Amino acid sequence: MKSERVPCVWVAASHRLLGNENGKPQMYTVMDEAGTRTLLNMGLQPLTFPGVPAERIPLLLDSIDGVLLGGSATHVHPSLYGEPEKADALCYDPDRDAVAQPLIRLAIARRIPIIAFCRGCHDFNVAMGGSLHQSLRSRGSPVIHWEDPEHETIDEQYADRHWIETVPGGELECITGRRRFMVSSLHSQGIKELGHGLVAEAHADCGLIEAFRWHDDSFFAWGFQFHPEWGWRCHESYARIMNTFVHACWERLAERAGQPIEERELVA
Amino acid sequence: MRSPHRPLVWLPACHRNLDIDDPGGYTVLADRYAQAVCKVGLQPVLYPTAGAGDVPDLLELVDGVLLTGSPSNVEATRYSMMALPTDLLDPRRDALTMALVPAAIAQGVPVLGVCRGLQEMNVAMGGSLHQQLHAEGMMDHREPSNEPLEVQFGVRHDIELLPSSAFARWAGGTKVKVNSLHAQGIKRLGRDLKAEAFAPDGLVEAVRVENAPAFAYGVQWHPEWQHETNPFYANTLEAFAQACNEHRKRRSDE
Repeated sequence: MKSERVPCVWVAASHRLLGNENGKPQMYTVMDEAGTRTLLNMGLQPLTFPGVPAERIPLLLDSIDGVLLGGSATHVHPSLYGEPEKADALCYDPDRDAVAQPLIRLAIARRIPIIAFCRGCHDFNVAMGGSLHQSLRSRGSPVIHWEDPEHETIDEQYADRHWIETVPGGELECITGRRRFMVSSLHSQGIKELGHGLVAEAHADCGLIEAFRWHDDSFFAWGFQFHPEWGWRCHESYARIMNTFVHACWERLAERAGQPIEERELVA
Repeated sequence: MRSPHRPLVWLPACHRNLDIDDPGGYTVLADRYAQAVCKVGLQPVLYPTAGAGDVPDLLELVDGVLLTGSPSNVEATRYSMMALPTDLLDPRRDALTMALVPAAIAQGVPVLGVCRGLQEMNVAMGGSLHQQLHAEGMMDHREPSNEPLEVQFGVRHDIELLPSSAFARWAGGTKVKVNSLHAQGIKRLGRDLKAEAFAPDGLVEAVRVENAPAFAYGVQWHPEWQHETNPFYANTLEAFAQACNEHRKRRSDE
């Protein structure tokens, strides 16, 4: 069957109050199409399990070859890393936390490839016991990490904003072949303490962690503060990162099938 | 052996631009559908990028299809009319569901259509819709606009159920009250659809697909709304769940 031959990637969904036809707010599961379209364009099958209770995650992972945690307008709830709330309540998404936290830990335990960017890398770090800066703006930083939606178009918001430097001899240097490259930056929170078992792979010039991975490099499990899914066709380092994830998902599919599976040619 | 895996129910999603300047757009699904599906022991699954061409592959992976309601309407060009200027449209959802409905029915994957979902079933099977019931001599089937959700989703009018229908069995009689939150409704029935419930103005409120190999029903009301306290809604969802469980069992026996 053809569908079994394409890696399935579980995309962690977000949740928002949206108006119905009368403008009445109701809760919706929301997925950013930039992330899911990138997976599709790279030959993977994105899906999500809306409303999934945490106890169902282990069995559902039997048919999953990769996990993607993308960006969101919301933050990880600070109670998950033992801090009081510093933003207003609408900035959180407890339904996403309830899925993302166990999903990450189970995917790591099962060696399922993970790619996490922006809020997703915060989910990843907190799931491993790490903590976050709740407001980079108020912390003061020589590097501007946040977008300016009032004066920037969407393309400008996702454009290269600052440099990052990869750890010498590290895995990210190996994947991208670069010591320094420019990245997009649309976040007001950032990694404070790195979670257990996570290794920093790149920093902004202010010292903020911009990329990290699970210490066991025999499978792909990475967090990025920037958006490698947005504009990967025109950004060589993003393309290399995304391709490494895609390749890892194909490997997982082959492992699951118990036989070699030929990776489908990408139509780039 | 009973598979430990729960039946998967595909919920086709809607598409929206949440921010006017964000061309990327979002795939959205009202949470109450997923919650109701979870509650009856099924697992919802959402394929955000699925198009008509993906239907054959993805149908192999699921045990049921639930077509949800939505603020958007099926685009009227699908039944040889013109969309009204006030219609919210979702052509990507139309393109998916017009292919999904006949394929799921033909392959014996259980289908339940709710509100817009019923209308999609009808149009996908060649039927047509009233575009504005209240302007076409029918009752006003819309919800009151300035009321809280509980009032908007409250039971609003009677329906008459065919005595021999599964609906009469689920309702425990031939008359029951349902909620009503729609401006469009079935005009000409699609092929193989049999009307099994009627509003006082004669509007078709529910259909069964004749000769379908599995559960294939559509309802104009919202059985997912507070189904736990409404036996008719609960029985409808339980019957769908049972059909999905049977499909799951057949799939894992293969």
